[in-house]
Amino acid sequence: MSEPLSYLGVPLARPKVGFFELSSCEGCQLQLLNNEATLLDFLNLVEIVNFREGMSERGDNYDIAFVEGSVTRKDEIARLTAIRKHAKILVALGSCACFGGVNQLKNRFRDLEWVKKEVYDDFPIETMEVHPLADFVQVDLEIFGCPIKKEEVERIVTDLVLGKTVRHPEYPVCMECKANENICLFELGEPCLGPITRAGCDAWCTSNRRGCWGCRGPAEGANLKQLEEIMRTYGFARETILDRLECFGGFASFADTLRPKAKKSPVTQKATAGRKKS
Amino acid sequence: MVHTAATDSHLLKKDHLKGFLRKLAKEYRLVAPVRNRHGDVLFTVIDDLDAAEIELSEPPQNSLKQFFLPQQEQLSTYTVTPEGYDFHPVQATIPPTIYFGVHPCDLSAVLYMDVVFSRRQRDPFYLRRRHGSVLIGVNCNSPSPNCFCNATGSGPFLEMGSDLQLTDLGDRFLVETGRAPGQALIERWQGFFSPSADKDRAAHYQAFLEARGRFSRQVHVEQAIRQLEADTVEEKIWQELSLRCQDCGGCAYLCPTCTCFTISDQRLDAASGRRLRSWDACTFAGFTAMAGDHNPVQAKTAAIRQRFTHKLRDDVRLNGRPSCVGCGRCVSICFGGTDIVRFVERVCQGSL
Repeated sequence: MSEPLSYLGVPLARPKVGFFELSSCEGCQLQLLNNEATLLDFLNLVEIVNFREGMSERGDNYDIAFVEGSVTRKDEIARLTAIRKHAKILVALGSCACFGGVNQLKNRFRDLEWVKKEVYDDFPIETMEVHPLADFVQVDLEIFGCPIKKEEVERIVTDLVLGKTVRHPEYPVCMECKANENICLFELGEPCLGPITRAGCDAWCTSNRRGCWGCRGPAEGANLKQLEEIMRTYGFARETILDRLECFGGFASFADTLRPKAKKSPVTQKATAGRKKS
Repeated sequence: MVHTAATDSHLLKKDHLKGFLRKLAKEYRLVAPVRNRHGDVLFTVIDDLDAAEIELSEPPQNSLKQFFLPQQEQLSTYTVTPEGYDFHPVQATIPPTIYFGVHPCDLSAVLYMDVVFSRRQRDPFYLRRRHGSVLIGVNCNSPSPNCFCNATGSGPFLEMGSDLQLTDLGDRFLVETGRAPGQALIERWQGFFSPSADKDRAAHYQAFLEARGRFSRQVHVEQAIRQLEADTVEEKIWQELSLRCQDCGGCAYLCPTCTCFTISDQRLDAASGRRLRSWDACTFAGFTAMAGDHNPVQAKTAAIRQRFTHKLRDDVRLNGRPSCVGCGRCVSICFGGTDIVRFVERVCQGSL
């Protein structure tokens, strides 16, 4: 594309990369194409051999595979295993790939057959419980977010290409929110998972006065236990907290400990409500 | 102490304030507490004096820290060459600025930052912003619910440190002159000022006495400092507080005297980048992380302990006074209740 890149006099190889999607909205890949201002610089760093959303050619000779989406069907396990075999580095792209994402809300229902009936009715599709990629293959790197933050991916890919250690922020979204000089949403009566969610999104939602839903999963030192206490002192019900914790699946183990304490488990609540309707 | 002030004092009628500020704004960049459209009072650079609603009776939500030590500041740019890195310093011209309506807590904080950034090493980035700045303070007649500057010796009235110090006496301000630039302002625009009489100085003292009685909480900072000095703060207090901390850094960001920063290099592309200085907080998990990922401060309790010990004990040892100025901002920002007032109160309870 242009003259060969070098860093500190050392020539840089342009790694071949492929983008793949399992069950997902493909919104994370769209994010990459969205930022036209830096798209060309980004493309200069890598050689894309497979990107359904961006080009027609297909190739299987990639070094880095970015896989979006979660595993919800048996044939996806086979696809994922094949991608893993080809790739030197497999990157889970977005919250679906990392934790199951919005898709894993399905797992809240005990009766998956009922879910299938409700969603597909007379056109049944073979699906199973939702799993993140790491349940089946080794994942080398996770890029969090629903959707991912384009600037963050560019930074991570640059680090990969330059051979630098990839670092995620350890602090919570709360910190980025304060840096954006926002009023605490608790004060405005809005529930928020900002205090426990991994930063890197530049407090996207909370800067627009929408409480955090925890799409990036827990921060390094997430103080989950205490957030429950704090949110209760601000008058939020356990069920409200649980709804948010379960939304993207990043807080699965903590949600498990909280669920039995909720007055009425949202699982049964929603399932019954749905049944009455049908 | 206040009534014996031997400083030169003048009167400025409130009706003349706008006119005086208009004169100042012609020659200086003007920063003052302004109420914005959301109803929040914030120190703001004033472009249009007629449109700005300057609010002196309510403490601003931000302090002056961001004007002298910006949240993020570009120190230099660099290019990568086959031999290594070439650094190019960033040239910036900071316009001479008048900070008007600075409350005693924030004024004390600026004086503390002056010490921090020139004690061992003179920090050129801080000092180029601080040089050419004029501070016009305003004494606090009615402290806010979270204020406790009376306990930290930084308010409600100050008589030194500023260039001019204003006291609200109803329809007029008593203006005391402090440093030379303040004196120069009065001489330059003497038409706005009239001499003060004994009754004005008496009213000033009366206002001071009344303000001192209006604090809604008594925070025994002295006692906490004594206990930290004697190392008698119970372990369980540190644990209790650190358990509630969510690592958001709000206290450090809003604190007018938290000056810790981190320096990071941000690549712009494979051949160039920029070196940034950003605010940091000692409560952050990665604050003490070293190269190779070693972190000598592992436990969260150690981070909280560091914060309060520094503010209350170490700065008393170094400078003779705590670096907490009692502005109460951390009290209102901390949703977990890990603020300095909570700490002082817990320490005092423990000793009862």
